[in-house]
Amino acid sequence: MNKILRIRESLVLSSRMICTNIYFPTFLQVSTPLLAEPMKKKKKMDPQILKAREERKKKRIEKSIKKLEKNVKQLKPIEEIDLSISLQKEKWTRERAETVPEPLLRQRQNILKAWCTYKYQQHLQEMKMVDRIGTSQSRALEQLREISENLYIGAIQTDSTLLPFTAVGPSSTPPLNNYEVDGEYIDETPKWK
Amino acid sequence: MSSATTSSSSPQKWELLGAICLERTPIIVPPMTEIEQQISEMIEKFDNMRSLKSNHELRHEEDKKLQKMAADGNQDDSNPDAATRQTAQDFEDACNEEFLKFKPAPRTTAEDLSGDQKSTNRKLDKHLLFVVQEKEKKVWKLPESRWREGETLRETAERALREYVKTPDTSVRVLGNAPWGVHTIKYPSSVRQKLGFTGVKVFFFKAQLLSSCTTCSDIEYNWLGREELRNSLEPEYLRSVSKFLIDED
Repeated sequence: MNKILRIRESLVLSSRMICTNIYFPTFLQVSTPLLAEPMKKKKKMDPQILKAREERKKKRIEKSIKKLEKNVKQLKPIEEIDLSISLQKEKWTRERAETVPEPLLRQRQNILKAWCTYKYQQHLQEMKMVDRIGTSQSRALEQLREISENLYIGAIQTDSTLLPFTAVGPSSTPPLNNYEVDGEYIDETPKWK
Repeated sequence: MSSATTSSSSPQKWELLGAICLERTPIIVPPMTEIEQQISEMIEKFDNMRSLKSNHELRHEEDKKLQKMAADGNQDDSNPDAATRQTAQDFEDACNEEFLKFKPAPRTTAEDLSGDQKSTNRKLDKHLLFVVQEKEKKVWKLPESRWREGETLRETAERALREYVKTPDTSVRVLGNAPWGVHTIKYPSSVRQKLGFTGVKVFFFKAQLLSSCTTCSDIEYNWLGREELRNSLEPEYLRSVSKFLIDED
């Protein structure tokens, strides 16, 4: 009587009812694996579709790689650049404690003003000189043209041997005679086989 | 081709000469003027003050610390070869010694002192101009020669150069095909009738001396600076020539 009542209760209470009765009349012994859903049969996929899926995955990954590389090429704005910590440490160790004294600053200002006017005058002189040389040349060419057109045409030809023009600038002391250059050097003589 | 300025009714005939203005360009820089010196000192001072310390300076400070520690008696035994290590001061002294041993060439040469006007080895911070003396009239001028048919004026000038100077082609660089200046000499009317020319036009071509050259034996020549030019050349000729020369104080 009691057992029948219990079975009826369980029938009402849960839809998923599992009979755990090991006694008569059902005699079922169940365990956790048996309580699981049975395996579904695996369908064989079309190999082309599988390949297509793998290709798509590859493409997606390649695209993302390209995007990241594009990012690397773009220069970072200066506001975002940070000094690496080692460089910051170096800066801290190498800073000088000296401050510029006031009278020196004023002296520098005066010298800079004088330098400014000096350089300006120098520039004016140089411009005058360039003008003078230029007019001398154009006057010479004018007079040549009046004399002979052929000679004039010969004079205005471009001289291809002049360009590229190189000149060794003046140094502070003249070159030493018989000076043997010492020190380390990299031998760049061409070797022919 | 149209000449808008024709002064005389009959066309003027000019004798054409090509002359070469050979210059030895400066080899050393001129000495600094006072203001240039002041500003270079000021710039150096400020650069030093605003700079960061170099490795050499850091080493020097470390050495000083080590010396102080040694003096105070706290020897750092972990560094056995500290005593034999070359300090920064030693290195600096060794460098200074080596620098003092090196003697650069002097800026004023022997020819500067003797005033030898035939050598190019003087007035190294200035330009020197090659002038020759004409044989008959003893007039100083730039080497020139008469223009011949079929050559350009530049070739005339180069020929003039070769008559007076024996140079390989690489030691002289002519600056272009165009003349840099012109000098006109008008003949008096009697000479004009005789020769058929109104006068002479000398076209100057500028050239730079790149390496040494030897002059031909039987000519009077000089390498003159700007001051000496003013004393040697005729005033009108000098005016035409200085129009295309670079300024010098």
